[in-house]
Amino acid sequence: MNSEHDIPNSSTMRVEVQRYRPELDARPWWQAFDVPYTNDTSVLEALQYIKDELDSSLSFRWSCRMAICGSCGFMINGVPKLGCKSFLRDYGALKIAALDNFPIERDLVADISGFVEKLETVKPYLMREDPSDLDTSVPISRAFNQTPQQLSLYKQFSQCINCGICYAACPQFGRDPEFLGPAALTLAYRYNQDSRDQGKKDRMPLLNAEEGVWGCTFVGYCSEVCPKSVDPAAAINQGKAASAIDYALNLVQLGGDK
Amino acid sequence: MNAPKENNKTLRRPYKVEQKPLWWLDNSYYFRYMIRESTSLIVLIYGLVIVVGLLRLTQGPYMWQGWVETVSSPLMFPLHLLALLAVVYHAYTWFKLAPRIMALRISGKPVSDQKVEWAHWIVMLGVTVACLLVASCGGALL
Repeated sequence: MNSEHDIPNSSTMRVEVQRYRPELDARPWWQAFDVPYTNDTSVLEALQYIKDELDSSLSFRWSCRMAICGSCGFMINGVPKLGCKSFLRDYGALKIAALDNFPIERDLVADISGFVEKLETVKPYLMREDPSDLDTSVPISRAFNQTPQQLSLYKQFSQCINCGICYAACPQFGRDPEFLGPAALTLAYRYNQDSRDQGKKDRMPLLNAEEGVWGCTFVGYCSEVCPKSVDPAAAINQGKAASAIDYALNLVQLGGDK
Repeated sequence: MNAPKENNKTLRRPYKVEQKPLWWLDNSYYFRYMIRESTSLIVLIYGLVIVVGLLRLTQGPYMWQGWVETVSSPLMFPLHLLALLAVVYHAYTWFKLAPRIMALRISGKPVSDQKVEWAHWIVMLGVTVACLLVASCGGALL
């Protein structure tokens, strides 16, 4: 290839990496490395080079290398991004840190278990009420057909890979870790929007709560940084409309879910 | 339960980073968000000025005239200008966000974000023109 983006083989980049070794360090600190790179070197590959060739004690999470596992979220020059989807050619120098707003477990490993627990509370799976579907002694034998239009109501929101990048981009979550946050609220809305689901009344109390959709002030940065273009801010704020309608229905006792 | 043995003690020591009070200065996206939100303060102040005007209106023509003279004074001009800029900027940011909240569909097909945004501008301009017409010709019509 001879594009203008071609980088000579000899290029190296100064990569600063945040280190935190709980058994040794009182607080995180920066360690600098010089990493050789080419036109297609990703940030994840740069970290792997450091671990293989320069300092094997560096810890970071990764798995698929193709933006589907959601493991390698880092703060890259202050912006939360997937390491496998960011390339050295787009930067002059690099500062890589663990995702913001989460406790740092070690080096670049953020402890996102708080987010995973929140995700579980919103029941992100199809729930049925019909007695015939609840009988677990027989496998479900009928199809739950969906029109393309019904699919389009939630498809975008179902692309989430649970990387936690939106939480690192959410100042409301940074301020109050109890806030359910972008991904969990988006998944709740995604299942509420699914024509096959009947579990809305179980999820609405969580959405209606102070820590639910109303904790969001539409900063919108979550949607800006989402590597899968899920647009969590849209889901949450459409969830506010649903929550307001639910509240009004409750008020006049026409159903709704408290 | 017995106390845990010394060698069972966890070596985990997660490091918690507190949010900085001025977190919104680190990122231009956050900074623009704070500007957007702070426009509401100027609108609040202007709203209070209008409420005082209503109060003066109930207190008779003399008090009303005094309020009109106060808000028409050149000293008040910066507030009027600031409030106008704040409202227009807030409207601009709000109309940009509105399509993503509305997710409007007409006969099953999603309406484009641009159309929803422009519809907001057209309605706002329409209402503004109507208000200005009533305000300037209202007396004549009565």
